[in-house]
Amino acid sequence: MPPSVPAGSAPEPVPATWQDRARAALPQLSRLDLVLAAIGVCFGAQSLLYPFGRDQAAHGYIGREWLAGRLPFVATFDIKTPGIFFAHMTAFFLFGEHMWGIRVLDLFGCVLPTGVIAAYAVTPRGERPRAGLVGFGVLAANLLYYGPFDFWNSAQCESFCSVFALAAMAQAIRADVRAPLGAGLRVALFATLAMLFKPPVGFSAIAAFGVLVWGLARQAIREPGGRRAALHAVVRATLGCALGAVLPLGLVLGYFGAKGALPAMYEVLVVISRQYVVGGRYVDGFLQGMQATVWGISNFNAAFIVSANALAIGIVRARKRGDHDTVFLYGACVAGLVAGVLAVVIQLKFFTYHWAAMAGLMVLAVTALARGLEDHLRATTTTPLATGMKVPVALLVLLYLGGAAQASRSLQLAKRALYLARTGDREPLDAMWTIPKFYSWEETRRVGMWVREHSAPEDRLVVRGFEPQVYFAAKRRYDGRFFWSTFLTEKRFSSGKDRLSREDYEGFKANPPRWVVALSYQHEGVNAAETYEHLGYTRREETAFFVILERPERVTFGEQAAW
Amino acid sequence: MVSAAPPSQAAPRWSKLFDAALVAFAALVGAVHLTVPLGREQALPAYAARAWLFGGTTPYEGTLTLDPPGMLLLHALVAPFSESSPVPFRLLCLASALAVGLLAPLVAVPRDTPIAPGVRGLSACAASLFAHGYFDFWGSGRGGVFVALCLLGAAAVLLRDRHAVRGPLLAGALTAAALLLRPAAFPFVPLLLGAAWSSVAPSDTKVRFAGARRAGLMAAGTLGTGALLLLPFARGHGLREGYDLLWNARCIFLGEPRWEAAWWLFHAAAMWGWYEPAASPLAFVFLASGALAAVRGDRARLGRVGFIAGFAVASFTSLQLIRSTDSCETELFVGFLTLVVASISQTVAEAFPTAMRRAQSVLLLQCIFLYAISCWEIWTPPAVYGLRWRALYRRVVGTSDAQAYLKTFDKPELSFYPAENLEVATWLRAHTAPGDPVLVRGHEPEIYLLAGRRTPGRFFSTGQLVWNNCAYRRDEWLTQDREQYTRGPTRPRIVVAIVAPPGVDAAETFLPLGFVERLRTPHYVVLERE
Repeated sequence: MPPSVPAGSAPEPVPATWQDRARAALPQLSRLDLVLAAIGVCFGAQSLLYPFGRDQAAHGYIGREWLAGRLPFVATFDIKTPGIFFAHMTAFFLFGEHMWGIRVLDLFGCVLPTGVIAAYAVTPRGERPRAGLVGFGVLAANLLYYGPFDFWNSAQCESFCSVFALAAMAQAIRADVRAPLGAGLRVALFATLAMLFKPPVGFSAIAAFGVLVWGLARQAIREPGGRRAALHAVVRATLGCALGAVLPLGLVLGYFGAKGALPAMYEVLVVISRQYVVGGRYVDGFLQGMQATVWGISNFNAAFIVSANALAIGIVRARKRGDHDTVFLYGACVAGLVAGVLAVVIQLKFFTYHWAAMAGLMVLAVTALARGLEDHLRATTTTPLATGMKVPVALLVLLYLGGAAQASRSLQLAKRALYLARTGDREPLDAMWTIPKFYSWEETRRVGMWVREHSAPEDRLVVRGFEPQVYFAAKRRYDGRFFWSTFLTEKRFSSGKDRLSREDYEGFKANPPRWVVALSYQHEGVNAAETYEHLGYTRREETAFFVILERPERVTFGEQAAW
Repeated sequence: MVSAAPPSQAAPRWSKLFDAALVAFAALVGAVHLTVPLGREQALPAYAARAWLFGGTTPYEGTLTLDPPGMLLLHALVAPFSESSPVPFRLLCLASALAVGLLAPLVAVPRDTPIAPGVRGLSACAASLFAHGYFDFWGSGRGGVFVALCLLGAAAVLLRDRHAVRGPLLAGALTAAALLLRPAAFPFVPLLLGAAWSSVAPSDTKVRFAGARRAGLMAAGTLGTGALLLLPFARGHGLREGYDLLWNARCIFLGEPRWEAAWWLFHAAAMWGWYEPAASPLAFVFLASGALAAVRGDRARLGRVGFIAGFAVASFTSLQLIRSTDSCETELFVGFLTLVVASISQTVAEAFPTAMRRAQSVLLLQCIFLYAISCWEIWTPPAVYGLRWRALYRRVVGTSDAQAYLKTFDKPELSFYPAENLEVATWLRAHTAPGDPVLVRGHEPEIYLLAGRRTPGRFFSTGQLVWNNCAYRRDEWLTQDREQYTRGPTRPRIVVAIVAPPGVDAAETFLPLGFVERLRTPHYVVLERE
């Protein structure tokens, strides 16, 4: 499957107008494409029912505040780069204050484009994605993303990283030696956008740059001038990369600089993040890291293991028959997978959602293999089954069903959603979002609803611990910087814990919120209900994990020690 | 992609060595299990079989056991080799696992296709890894592998032996054995009957009803052998009591009723997850090869893929019928997973005719790697497998003694302490004569085996008298039990009571009956009648 016009074939006529050019670039959409894409999107639409997990709530809170003019890093605290806050701000701007807004962006802004981009990436430059390929890509993207990644692990920074990393890789694969500057610019632009959502995706950027250099060099080497032309193209592409990287970075830094937020941004993203990376690692030793890696790639069921094997076999066989284009495409896919794994490993945490950053590159590998399989079947068999992506689609579905646990989770969700629609009883559905001994959406929702019912819209609420989803259930806010307090209590995360605590205390003292949601299982420090009772707050409601306290007429602040 | 080039007809010498080395490796994988003790669930039929063989007590009537007749027959088969050692039974388990591996290629590869070098060895490795790697001493030897062996044997005979009479009859006999080992294995019967029907020899295709005749003969073989094997249970009221315990009392071992729609799907998903992360990639590659066979119109290959898929469906269905959430039930999957590996190994060999050994080695190494990864997860059974080798190594080099070795099998969550059981059993051996009636309370039949003693009563375990299940005939059985230990010839001389709340297991029940305490360990009180 050559990614460029095969040597010896007649060049396609150059379209005359931009409409003709656009038409020539559009994929050959068949009925199968529409059906597959619709099935994929319907499958992904389950995410519209998802509530926020803790992470989405924290990012959403900051995005919501940003929309109200309160700048990240300065007015709100989190160690993520600004991309995800911008995404949430956009979702709130477009759809209002709903938890499904970010899911819509996730589905239609990340997952759907992933499928389309993958189809283009595996199609030779100058050709249109063949019938069935876009549908396959969209279905694959939805199955490989919404299958492994549930409500907690989707709509994180990684899903945006995923689509931008794929876009960078697609640009690298399709780079034209006649326009290396533009190719480099586009590759770096997308790669930098990905890194603005999460810097460790830098490995994907390196992989995309490597593929870009490889692709340009192999094209240039065939032209007159040979090595010199190759060097020339690579230099120009590198220059384009530099420009492409500077553009988004400059815009972001310029924006925060103009608002005077650069010092706060530096402190959070460099000083505190460094401590978080070092102090917050979850594996010790090579073997444990290896195990975590394999369990991580197992999130994609058999997809990663099978694709890695198939790509290796495909490369060996393509080399034997002298098919360098296939070697290049499969090589790019392998580079993408390796980079995707490294981007997770480098974080040393191996959280499930970290693997979502490589979902796009995974879709690329699967789509490339699907196209290769169809080519092979067309060449070796004559049955109608061999055409129209039927076999690849069947294998894709098998790939998803192989991880029976994922399939059964989606089925559970469908059952409970239908029950909710039929009876209005949301309890069974809400029960799906409870992670035993870790996260109880049902309870946080109850607590939030209680606060909403007993407070006025202008009342301020502070939620202690890492439970920002309560703000959304309560539809309330806290105007202090520390709307969550993990970095005030976990020394291993933050070397500036004491200073941050003082800042939080001063902010709280200056304007005590009317409502405090504290943690019932902690009995001292900033998260404990007892701390606020000493200030005169009254317990109003208590659940298994939370205590709701209300401010008295007059708050008496003594020593700061309890913070 | 897979090419259809058949492997070489004349296998070179290295290929035989390769197969032999792999089978030896498979045996090595299972070797550690030869040193592990019996868990409660293996000890239960082992005791009932010994009571039957050496005490003349008809199972079900004389001993209350819920084990199927096949398991009792199997334990009776190995009992003469040693009354107290688990080694003969574990050896049988190991041999069965290897046999599953060696039979699988006969089923997975079409009859007219030569089995490629390495396929038998890889299948044996897979069977041993699945049987011993994923199931510890507690969960292995519970019947799944034996059932798989019988069913694979039946399938191999049907698909390979085209003799009009011999094949179906032998397959029927093996099917009967499988059903006696696991009555819930009946979903396999239609599959095997279908195989009998459709595997008519080309020379017989013109004979009228040849397929029906083969299926009929198989059914006759099943019924005849089943009846023959059940005959020994017919003494006294053995069959009637067996029916009562295995059918009427099935609520005891059926899980909680699950009324939620499609619960079976979630249950199946959980069972499948037991073998991850290796199972999904294997299943996918297998199904993909089936899809390619369908596209290519390779009917012989497609037929075998279909049969293996049917075997998998029957395995799942069989477990769903039991409704047990006990993970050891998934031992039955060893059969179809080995078939899957055999099929993949053959496909790999055909796809890489010039690099067969290398390709198969890569497959094996990946399987071992994925398995090893799960070994590092300390809360999964495979992790325990590594610990078993470590404990055995320490025992062999002398850095730990027998007591310390046995302690590595402790299961505090189930109050199971084999080292303590051995201590009690040793005391019993020293302080009682072989014919002395000894009663062990609780669910600790391994103490009888280790001590070489028996109780004349039916209730050698009090599991069904105290467990919080459906309490089938509980009052009646409690009355019978009390009669046994309070009067008559069944009255025990020694009672091993449990340190437990008041009830049938506690020492306090026996102290007023004239028993005095002789030995106390952390979990047992040994009492002797004065």
